[in-house]
Amino acid sequence: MTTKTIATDVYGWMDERLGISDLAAFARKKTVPVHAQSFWYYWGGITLFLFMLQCFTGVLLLVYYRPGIEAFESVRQITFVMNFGWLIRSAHAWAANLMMFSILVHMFSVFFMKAYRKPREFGWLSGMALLAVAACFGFSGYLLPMDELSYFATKVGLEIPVAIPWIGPAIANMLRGGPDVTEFTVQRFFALHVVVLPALFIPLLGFHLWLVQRHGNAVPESEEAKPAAERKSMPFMPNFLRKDIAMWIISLNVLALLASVFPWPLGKAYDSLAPAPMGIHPEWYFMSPFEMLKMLGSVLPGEAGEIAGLLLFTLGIVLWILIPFYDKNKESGRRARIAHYFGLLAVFALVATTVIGYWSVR
Amino acid sequence: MNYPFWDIPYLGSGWVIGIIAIFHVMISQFAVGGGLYLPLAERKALREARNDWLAELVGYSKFFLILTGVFGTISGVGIWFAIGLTNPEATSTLIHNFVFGWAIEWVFFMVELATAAVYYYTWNKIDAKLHLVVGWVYAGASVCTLIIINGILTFMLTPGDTWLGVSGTGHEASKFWNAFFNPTYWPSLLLRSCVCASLAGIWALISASRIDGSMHAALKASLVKWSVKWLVPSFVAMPFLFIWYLFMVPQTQRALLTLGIDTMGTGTFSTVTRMALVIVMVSATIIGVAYYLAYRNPADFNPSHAVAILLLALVATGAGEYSREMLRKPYVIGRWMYSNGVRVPYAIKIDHDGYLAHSNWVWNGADSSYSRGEAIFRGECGACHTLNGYRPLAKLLAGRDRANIESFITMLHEYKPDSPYHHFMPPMVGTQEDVDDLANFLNAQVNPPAANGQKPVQTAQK
Amino acid sequence: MALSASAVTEVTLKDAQKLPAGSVLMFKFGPSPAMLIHHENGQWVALTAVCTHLGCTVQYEPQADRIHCACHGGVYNPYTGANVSGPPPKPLKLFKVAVSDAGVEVSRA
Repeated sequence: MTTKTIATDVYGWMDERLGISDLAAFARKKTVPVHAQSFWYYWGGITLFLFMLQCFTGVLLLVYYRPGIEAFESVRQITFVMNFGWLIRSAHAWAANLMMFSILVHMFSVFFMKAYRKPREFGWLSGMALLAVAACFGFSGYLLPMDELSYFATKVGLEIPVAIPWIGPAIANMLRGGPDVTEFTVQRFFALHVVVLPALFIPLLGFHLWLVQRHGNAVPESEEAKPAAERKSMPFMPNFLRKDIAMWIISLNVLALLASVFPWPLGKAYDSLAPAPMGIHPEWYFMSPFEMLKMLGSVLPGEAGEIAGLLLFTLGIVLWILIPFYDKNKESGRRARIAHYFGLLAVFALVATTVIGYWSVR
Repeated sequence: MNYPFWDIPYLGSGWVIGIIAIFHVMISQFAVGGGLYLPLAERKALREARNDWLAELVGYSKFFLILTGVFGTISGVGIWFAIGLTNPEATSTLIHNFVFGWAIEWVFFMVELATAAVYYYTWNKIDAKLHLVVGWVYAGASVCTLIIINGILTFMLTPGDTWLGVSGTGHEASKFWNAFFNPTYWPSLLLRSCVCASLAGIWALISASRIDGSMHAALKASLVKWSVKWLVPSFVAMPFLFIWYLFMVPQTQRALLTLGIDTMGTGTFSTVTRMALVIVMVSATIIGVAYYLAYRNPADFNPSHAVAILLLALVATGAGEYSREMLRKPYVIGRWMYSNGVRVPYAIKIDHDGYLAHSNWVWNGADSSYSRGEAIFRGECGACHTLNGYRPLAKLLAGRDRANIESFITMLHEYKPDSPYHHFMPPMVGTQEDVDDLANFLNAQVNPPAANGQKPVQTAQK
Repeated sequence: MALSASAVTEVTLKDAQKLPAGSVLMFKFGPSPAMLIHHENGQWVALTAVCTHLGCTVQYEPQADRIHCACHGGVYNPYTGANVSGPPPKPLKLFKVAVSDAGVEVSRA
């Protein structure tokens, strides 16, 4: 019995029960379109890779993190006492930012390639749900160290749901576990971050990935216009997979570099009696709605301004989510162009409000 | 001190050297490696009658000439300007110590530039054997430039006990050869040679990646595979050379690597861990990309892959150079001159006379405590710190009041052996009045006086 | 440290008045470590034991008459809590001390 015969026997035994060879056959036949925009096909995979890194570093942090009153002390110990604790924490924080960035690149490249059109509407919708859950991951995780920055950034960030008319304050109270951000808040956010959100994210992710396998990669309109004979493609195995893994390794290198050369800092323990530091603001991926609220709050007086800002942002998101029902297929003509301009407007608005936000707090 | 202070806002003058030098190292070390690559490749092509290779090599040598002749030269001279402005005391010591032993570099630079131009312009115009000789002359001149600059650089880290024994006596030149071939000279030379070979291979990969794999499969495959092999020596030899290098550095300086960032982390949160992590990960990736993407699949190897390898190599060499810079602290010339230009045995004199007594370029002299403090800050702290930019003192001293700042400076002034700052900061030299003045100045930065109309005396900021 | 309504404002250390001169008692003030020093000269001093640099627990060294932080070499004055040497940017906070026959009451200043 050589290893080869043992391996074949084991494979055969598993295949009779699980049907692996069908999967293998599918993988061998699967192709990926090759054209000028093929570079964007990697970004969903990069996001997936970063999510897996977050799970891995997150579990390691979970071993030493203590939610509640000892939150800050446990994070201090992780950062300065545990061997390589600083590295795991630094990697987790940086990967969170990189993941949000790659989600946005992925979302916008899907949008501009019009990969939300029939039959991929569910892919788009599940993607938007994943984006929402990822934003919640970011917001909840940010509070967990309970240092000055996370405490005040969360306090300020929770002003956004408070601005929702009628039910806003109740929602905020439920999130905070009371009128203030306290050790009870951090326990709730911890439960969210470690149990509830993963339980939502992972099935959604599975659905999202299954859809990609079922429908294959979308191609841009210019490529669709070409006759089938002129369209190039590469086999998924091993060509695309090899390049996919290379992109993952490059992402890992970028993360290692950032985490080592710019280790994530830990500020002073939070003090609820202290005044908020000057220029406090949420992380960059929340800067845009934060700034929009501020801008409209200064244009329209009082509550009206906040509600208007919230409405505008919500309207924008709703339109964004519903885009597959507006720009349905390649016959949608003028709508396709309008959708494209809407996308450009969204990118511009997000980038501009983010930049303005940072400019005004510097 | 003897020279004016070169004030670069936010970055600090040290980083001017850093930025130019990082750029220069990627090109100059390529110049040495490429200087060997070209004649070796030409010789192989002539022996195996590979005319397709020869045609490619003409293009390589043009790229090489422009890159090294223009950018290498500009950045190299840029370093010369920058070091003279940033740390004239150290530069002066190096010049006085080595004189033409250093300046002879210029002879080899001239030979390099001339032969590089001749090599390119006489392709297919002169006898092939003579052309190859021109290539070898270039290679020789280029290697000589590395041999020389390596002596100067390693002297700064480890002047060696022999030279230190005669330092300050006026007889330093009698130990010229000991100073030149100092403890870290040979490990550093071999380390850098490996890097040169790797960079030669990587830049060649960039040129080779631009060949159309579907039209010239055999040419691309052979060039890509041969270029990848140039990476092998460094990966095999580096670990041993690193260990040898570190072993030759004095223990007190080596201890620096186990320290964290500004007394923050220790244990595994240290510079050596962070740099080692970066170097190991990036090197493993280079091996992976070079083998799986370039060597196994040359037809598909495109310029973005090659540039990725180059950037990874930049990160790896950058991390190594950063660690070397860390090792040298608190000195600019190991155990002889602190980073701020104060010579170790002269500290006592300055403590007695006062810092400003030996500063010819302080324009407003002794107007006020604040302006004296500012002059002392620039002279003693400005070599490594800015106020609000790189290693910002306003932030590093944040939270301290006037008394705390003074006790901090006093701790640096007393420079006791168990002081945690002993490893990477020079002592604060000067009289008690200097300590006071510096504390006043720094306090005004950390705790700016409330807007009550009375601003501290302004000094010339130009 | 959280300063919410439920935070600890005083701690009674039973029998701590028996602490010999020139020695220290480490105790917890709420969730954080603190120290009670009975100096040679009879003075009683209570202060937080959380180093203001990076939060390590400091220690009193009676033979050197100083408070020292082993993590990065910070030194504090054991009478006033002032940071005299090393990285710590701020002094240790003093508590109010009331010594009685039953024990020592330490409360927020």
